[in-house]
Amino acid sequence: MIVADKKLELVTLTERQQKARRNRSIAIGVALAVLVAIFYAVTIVRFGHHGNSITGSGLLGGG
Amino acid sequence: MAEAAAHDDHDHKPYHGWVRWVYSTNHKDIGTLYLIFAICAGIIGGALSVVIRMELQEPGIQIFSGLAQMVYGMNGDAAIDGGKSMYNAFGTAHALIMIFFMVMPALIGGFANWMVPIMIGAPDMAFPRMNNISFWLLPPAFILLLASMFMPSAPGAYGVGGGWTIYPPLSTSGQPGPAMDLAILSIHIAGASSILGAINFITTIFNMRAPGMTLHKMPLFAWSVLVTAFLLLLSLPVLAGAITMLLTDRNFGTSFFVPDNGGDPLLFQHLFWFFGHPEVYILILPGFGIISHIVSTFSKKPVFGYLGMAYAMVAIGAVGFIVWAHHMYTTGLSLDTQRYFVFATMVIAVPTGVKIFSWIATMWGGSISFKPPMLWALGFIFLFTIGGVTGVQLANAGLDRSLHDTYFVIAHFHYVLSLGAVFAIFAGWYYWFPKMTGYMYSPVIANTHFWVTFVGVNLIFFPQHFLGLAGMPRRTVDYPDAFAGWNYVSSIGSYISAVGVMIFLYGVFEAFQKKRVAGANPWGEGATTLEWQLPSPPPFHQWEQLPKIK
Repeated sequence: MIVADKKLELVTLTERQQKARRNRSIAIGVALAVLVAIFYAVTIVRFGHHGNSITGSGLLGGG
Repeated sequence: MAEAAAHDDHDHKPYHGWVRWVYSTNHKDIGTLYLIFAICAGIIGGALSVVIRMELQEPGIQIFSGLAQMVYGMNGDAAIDGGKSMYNAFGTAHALIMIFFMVMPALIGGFANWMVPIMIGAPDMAFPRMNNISFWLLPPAFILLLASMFMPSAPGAYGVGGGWTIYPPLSTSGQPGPAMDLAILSIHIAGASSILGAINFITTIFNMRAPGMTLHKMPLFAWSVLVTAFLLLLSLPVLAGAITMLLTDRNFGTSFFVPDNGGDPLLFQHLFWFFGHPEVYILILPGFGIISHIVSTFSKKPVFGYLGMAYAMVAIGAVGFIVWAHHMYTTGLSLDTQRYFVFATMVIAVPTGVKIFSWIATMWGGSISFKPPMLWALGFIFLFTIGGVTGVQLANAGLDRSLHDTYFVIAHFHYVLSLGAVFAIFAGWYYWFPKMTGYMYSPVIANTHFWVTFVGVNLIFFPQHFLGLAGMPRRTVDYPDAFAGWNYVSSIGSYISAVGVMIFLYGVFEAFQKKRVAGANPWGEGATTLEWQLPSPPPFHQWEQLPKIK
């Protein structure tokens, strides 16, 4: 955790760099949101249809 | 330097008055809103627990039948039965409030919002408007939860009384009234708020770090928030799916959890705990980050084993996803499955041990000053370790047979969460309060707050180990006379802790009243992360010119 420096050098991002950073943020954000939607859908679709077979399989159910 | 990075003193806030706060897209303003919200929710959630302890101070039912009479207008036997349900509703609301509306908003919404962008050298969060929405989803969610306490649930009862786990069939056919629907909606909205927050933090940390700040140079608090955000992102959609199914079972005739029509109530428990176990790490990991900073600062040493500390959190997060069924040993899991979950659960003790020993190693040979944040951090390490040890005990399926659903479990998770996460919150509060406000609190009041709380919470929860070992079940309003002694002690501890909260609030008031100037870095050479390079409070916009990290 090496962070602070008493003589901190400061840099300014160019317009282009700022725009690239913004685009990267949006790409990461959208990818994460899609991941959330997939997990939500998979939970309902996968377990909604096959829940009983999973919990009754002896693996996670009685045995 | 501080002035240059601070974009001078033109704190051109876009709005003033209430509009500034409602419309705010500034991470520090939103962090402040989260902290204020967490304090309010914590007072309400804490008050519920004090009423619970007042009830349990003596055997018999003394408080809740009267409360049911007063609040719900019940009389006679109905008031007694209503009071019993009300007790369960108080317990459920206490848990949900403390988890979703106090600890999470304080650590993630409050401290992480405030400090992560500053620490990684970013001007703000990656998605400032989404940050605003994340916060403003919380008050309606909280209002829905509070409203559910006044809505019918089971016949003759009000409020959700199924515990925070809301297992069916008690949460479906057992409580057909609207209280459960409101609570489910509340959890949905709070969950949406947390998911948006998680997306924001992951994007911010991955994409907004200052030039030169590699992940391996990033402060441990930012690491802890990154791991926490991933846990939120991966676990909350599963909870959302489960409670959506619960909602459709209740209102639209589906049978996901109804055995009569081919569903399985146990499925809900698996889904719930697939979220629920990572959730306990969500509550504690940001605390780990805070404690690392404080121990390092007040030992005047860099944290011992920085990379080990960072990857221990990653390991805790990863393993936290594959241990969920240790909450379900008594549901009839196969023996092989139980063996697996015992082993996997115990593995978590390894990275957790790495953290505990690294904190101790950081202090070893350090020039330690026992300022208030350090007192809370030491209290955290001590009490969290006690909770960790009882956690290893409960990880044993055989032992859990006798301890499941007893007060031993209550004692265990309060040691890691109430005494762990909450001590970390107060440690963070006393560490960053001068930075956030520019004012220094009275160390005498802060130390008094610590010692009163330390005595109070230990009096509450240590005797609960004895009650659990003696077989006292949780979620019951009454108990045999044999349990009276330790319950009395536990209740006294609750009142002492409530006094601690009063001292805390007075300390905040006193600090704002006295206005002692804290200065940019009140903690001296040990405080090395970027927030201490800025003035206190930091300017409205920081790092418009990015710091270059060497």
